[in-house]
Amino acid sequence: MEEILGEALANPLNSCISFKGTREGLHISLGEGAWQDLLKELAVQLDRPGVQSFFRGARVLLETGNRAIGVSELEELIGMLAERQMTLSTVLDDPEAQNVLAKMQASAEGQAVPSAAPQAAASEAPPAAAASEASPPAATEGPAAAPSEGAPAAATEGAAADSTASATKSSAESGSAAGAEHTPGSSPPSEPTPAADPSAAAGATPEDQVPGPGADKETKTTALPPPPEYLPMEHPRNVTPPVSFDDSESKNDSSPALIFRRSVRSGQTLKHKGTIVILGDVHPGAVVIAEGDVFVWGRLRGLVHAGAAGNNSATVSALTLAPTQLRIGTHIARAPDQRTQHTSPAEIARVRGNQIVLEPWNGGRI
Amino acid sequence: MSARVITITSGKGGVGKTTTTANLGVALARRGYHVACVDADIGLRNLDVVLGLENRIVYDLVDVVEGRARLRQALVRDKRLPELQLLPAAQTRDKNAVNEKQMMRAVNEKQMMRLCDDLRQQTDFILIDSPAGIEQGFKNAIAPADQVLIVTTPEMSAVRDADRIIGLLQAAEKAPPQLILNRLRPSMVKRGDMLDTPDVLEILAIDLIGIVPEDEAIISATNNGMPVAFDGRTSSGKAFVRLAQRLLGERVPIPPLDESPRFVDRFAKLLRR
Ligand SMILES: Nc1ncnc2c1ncn2[C@@H]1O[C@H](COP(=O)(O)OP(=O)(O)OP(=O)(O)O)[C@@H](O)[C@H]1O
Ligand SMILES: [Mg+2]
Repeated sequence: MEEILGEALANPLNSCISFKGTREGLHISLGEGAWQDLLKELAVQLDRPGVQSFFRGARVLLETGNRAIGVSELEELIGMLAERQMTLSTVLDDPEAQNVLAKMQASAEGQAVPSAAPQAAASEAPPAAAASEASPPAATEGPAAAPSEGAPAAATEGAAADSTASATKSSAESGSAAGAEHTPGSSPPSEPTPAADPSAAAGATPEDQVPGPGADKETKTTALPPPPEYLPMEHPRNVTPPVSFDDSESKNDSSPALIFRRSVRSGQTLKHKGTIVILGDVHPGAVVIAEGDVFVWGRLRGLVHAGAAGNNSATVSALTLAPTQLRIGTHIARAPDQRTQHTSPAEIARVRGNQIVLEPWNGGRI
Repeated sequence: MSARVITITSGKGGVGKTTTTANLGVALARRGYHVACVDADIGLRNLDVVLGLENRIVYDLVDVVEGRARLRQALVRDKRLPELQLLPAAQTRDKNAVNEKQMMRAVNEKQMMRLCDDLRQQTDFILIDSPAGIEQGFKNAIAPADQVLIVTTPEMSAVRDADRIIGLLQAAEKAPPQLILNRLRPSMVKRGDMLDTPDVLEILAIDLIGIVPEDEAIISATNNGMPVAFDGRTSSGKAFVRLAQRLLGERVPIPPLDESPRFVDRFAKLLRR
């Protein structure tokens, strides 16, 4: 990322705004000038051809210079960044503005996911004071999944799906969200096996349907963002992970889609806050957990959970869909004992009515 | 001389790693190559038994690693086949399990690599018999490997474990392993009661380097300490000899077992899975 940003920024700007790409994100430092002018100037710079796509999904660390920034300024900036699928993560040199920002982030998440208790995630979430410079709150991190409608709400909602953990935490600490519950954060992150999921749902009143993981979130799913209209693939993440890959607690740059370029084998787990694309098979005994959709360019035979944070509109597609177990949002289904050979080029599973159905895919929209 | 290090592993226990190691060692040695078989199954050694060298062991791998013996002192040369040597594992049969665990941990990957580096100078092939599982012993066994052979039987549980091992090898950035399918029973495959080779390969998606049929001769061979590859007349003995040839880069086709199953049977089996 540093390199790419470096390139995008190679052409220094003759303005009072300076940019620097770092590991944490994009540093934007504001110089002299009226706020509105700076904002416009910033928009122009961010929209420069070629630069725009490099910045998509970036987290912004802001240096305000000597200016005092209030809620309305912050909102303007957040909105402007959200239009470009960027997020303001930290205000570096103005503790007061940073406080305001942290509150905004916390409350936005609190709204989006009142008391979601995702799998074992809270254990490593940074303290709410994570608004500190060193580690910006995870909540602000993976916003690019939000469609570009642009309002601040869209950005933070998008982020919420990625970081329900810290949402839980911060709302619990601010005492603002009733019934915020701490996840039994006992299971180690490296083993997000389905076994860990029911424990997250423990204590919830079971519903009539099979109480899949996160069944307690059923009623809250409305607050989750709709699945993105398209898959933003400008900066898909390519991982060649070790045995298992789990970025569900990651505080790093998390772009919307994770591309896994080989087969997921027995004993391996792939877990991601957004959509997962697998170019290979998912073998029996493998586990794939995505908060977004799951696409498998190959045979799907392991266990897969799409919409793992409770999104029942998530889909699972594969060239051959024969999972040992399939979970979408709060629904759960097992493979039929016998399957006839399908003739369609691919298959897709989604929730219709109150159950998971498997349909041939013969072209067209997913 | 700089040997090629080949590790034989499986994930699941009892699928034929030791049998394979011993027979490959014999087959390669009979072709005139210098082979050192290393028993990395510390605590449960039995490669020495299968090779019929048990009563000649003085020092073992742990003795070498811990400096109580020199490599040359610990290597046991097979009198029937001077090209073949064995580096035995430590024996703990009469001690308790705690000791066994300690013993396993006594050796680490680095030491294993160093040991193999010394051995490499003296032989053409180093065959490492890995313990079952994915613990330290397994890690030790694959650390020095240039090539890994995975043994499985045509059973779902063994295939799953093999799959897992393949994933671990990928993660360790090893070259893709090759598969040995052991204990295949032509009659059962024919009836559609056993996973057939294509079924297994479809799941594991790695190259097949050999098929060894189920063969009673292996049991008596084990008891006599005389691996079947010594006399290549049994079906399993022949299979191991061909396997060795393929390791040497010779193009030896994998012959069909008796007759291949009827298509209908295979189709029925696919449905049943
Ligand atoms: N092709 C075969 N036909 C018949 N019996 C076999 C065959 N292969 C192995 N066996 C028998 O299966 C048993 C287990 O074999 P072996 O000891 O080689 O397995 P292993 O993988 O080394 O086991 P462990 O995991 O305990 O080290 C032995 O008794 C052996 O004689
Ligand atoms: Mg053995």
